[in-house]
Amino acid sequence: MIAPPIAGLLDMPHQSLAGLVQALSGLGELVGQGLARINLIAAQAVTQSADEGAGESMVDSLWAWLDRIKEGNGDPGAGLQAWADTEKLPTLISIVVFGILMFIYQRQAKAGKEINIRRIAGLDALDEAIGRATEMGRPVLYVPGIDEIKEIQTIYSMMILRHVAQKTAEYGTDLIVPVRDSVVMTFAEEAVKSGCMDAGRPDAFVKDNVRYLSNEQFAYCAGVAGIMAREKPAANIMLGMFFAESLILAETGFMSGAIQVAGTAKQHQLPFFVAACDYTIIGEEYFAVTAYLTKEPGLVGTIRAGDFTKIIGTALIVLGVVLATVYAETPGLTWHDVILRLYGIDK
Amino acid sequence: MKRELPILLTVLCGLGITMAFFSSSAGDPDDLPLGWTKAVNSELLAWALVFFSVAFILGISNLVRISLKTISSRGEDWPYKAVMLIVLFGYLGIGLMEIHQQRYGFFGSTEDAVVGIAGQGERAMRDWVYFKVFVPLQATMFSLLAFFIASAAFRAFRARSLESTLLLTAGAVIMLGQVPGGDELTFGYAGRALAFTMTYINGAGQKAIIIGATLGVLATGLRIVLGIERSYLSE
Repeated sequence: MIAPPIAGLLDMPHQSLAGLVQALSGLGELVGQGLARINLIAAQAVTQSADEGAGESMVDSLWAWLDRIKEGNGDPGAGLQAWADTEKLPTLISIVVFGILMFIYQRQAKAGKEINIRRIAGLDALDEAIGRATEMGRPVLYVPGIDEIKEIQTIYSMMILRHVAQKTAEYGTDLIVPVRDSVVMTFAEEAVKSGCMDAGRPDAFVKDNVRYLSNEQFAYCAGVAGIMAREKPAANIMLGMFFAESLILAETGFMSGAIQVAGTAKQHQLPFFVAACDYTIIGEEYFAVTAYLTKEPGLVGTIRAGDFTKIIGTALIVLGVVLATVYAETPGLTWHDVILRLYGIDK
Repeated sequence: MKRELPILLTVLCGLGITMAFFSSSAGDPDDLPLGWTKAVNSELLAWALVFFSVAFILGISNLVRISLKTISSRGEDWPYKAVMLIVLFGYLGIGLMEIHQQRYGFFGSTEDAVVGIAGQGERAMRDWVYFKVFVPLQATMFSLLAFFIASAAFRAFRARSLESTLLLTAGAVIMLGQVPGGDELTFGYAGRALAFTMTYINGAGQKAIIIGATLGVLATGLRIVLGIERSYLSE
């Protein structure tokens, strides 16, 4: 007999609502049964622990050992707590694990192992947008967001700007880069200059096309909107950190008839870009741009490391959901009791 | 060397600031083995502030150069550039004058009562220009957002495909749940649908984006701090 959720899925050749509802209710039923089973095991664990009396478990010993490492002999300035902020240790461990994964996948990619990155329409559209501007004989506008250079999205935007500058130099198209921060301006000048040199066309660099407008958010926004209205760029590329000005820029660009590619990792601004732009690079896709465009093994390896970390993170989230559910239903139960009982290990 | 030195400095500063972030802050920094990293961190941040301040001069010189070029060639909208330069240097002049009169006490200032050129207060004229001219202009720009939201929503919410129909439905439910009377008209269902959509569907989607983006930030940060990523440096 086919399980209810699978039967529900098989019965929805036309993706009918009834099939979907049946599938979901079947899945819900299965999850409910699973959680009830976990609750039962957990409740048995509590009862059994109480019957066996108090005794130090393996997990308790592990915690005691970790406490001794943390506090040393109890003197001030002793133990790990004198060296490191122990509250931040999980973060440090996560970064180290991620760094190791990054190193492993980079080595694999450099050794020739093929790592595939799925097609991202927004990134393919970058070249299309520059090509369109070239055909129309109009400039490309690149907006690197409004944050300072210390923001990682702005630094990343400078890397993409270099690639865009290389393409515009190859095609002989003007590239206008308005900036809000004067430090970003110097970075943008260097990125455009390097892109032109990468293309073998250092003469394509026009210093006046990297423009400092204003340090104020809406004054900058008005300046960029003015460039869109006056100079009519055929392609607007907006990549970086954006705030409330995102929709004003995107809508002005839409009204000027330009093809628009936008991207940010700022989740609150994404709906505006999705609504107003032709292509949107969403969240993590933004940080895959240079790897996707250059296919450099070192960069591609870091994308795979990120994916693997997400798998670990997802597994931990699922485990957390199960444990939180069990905790909610069974007061007094410790999480290690639950894990040990789930895997059939007695104290 | 022109390329290696900046990379070396980036790696050293990056590692130093990372060590300061993770090192212990319990107790007196002088008594802690890695207390010196906190001092290095504060010093580097102070240097960064100085760099940022000096870079303003570069930004203003860029703005002035491009504006003067447009004005001299009578380019498109050149009068606006002229107004911008007048305001830029006018405001700078007012600020310098006010600072000067505070120090030397003309325009009726005394040690006890500082009088600005536009009235009582240390920065009366600067504040007047800022609050009476700049803030309303800024609010005008911001208020444009309401119209742009309407025009963008009009395009995005057209039911052309399954996805856009779902978007339209979600938008209608959210709007109904938030407008006055919407909840009463739907016997409380709109409010519950709003809470469910925002907490579970929207919340889950946002968290997924945040997790992905954070890993991207982490990967890029590590690549830069370890000197693997160099494309942000010029040739």
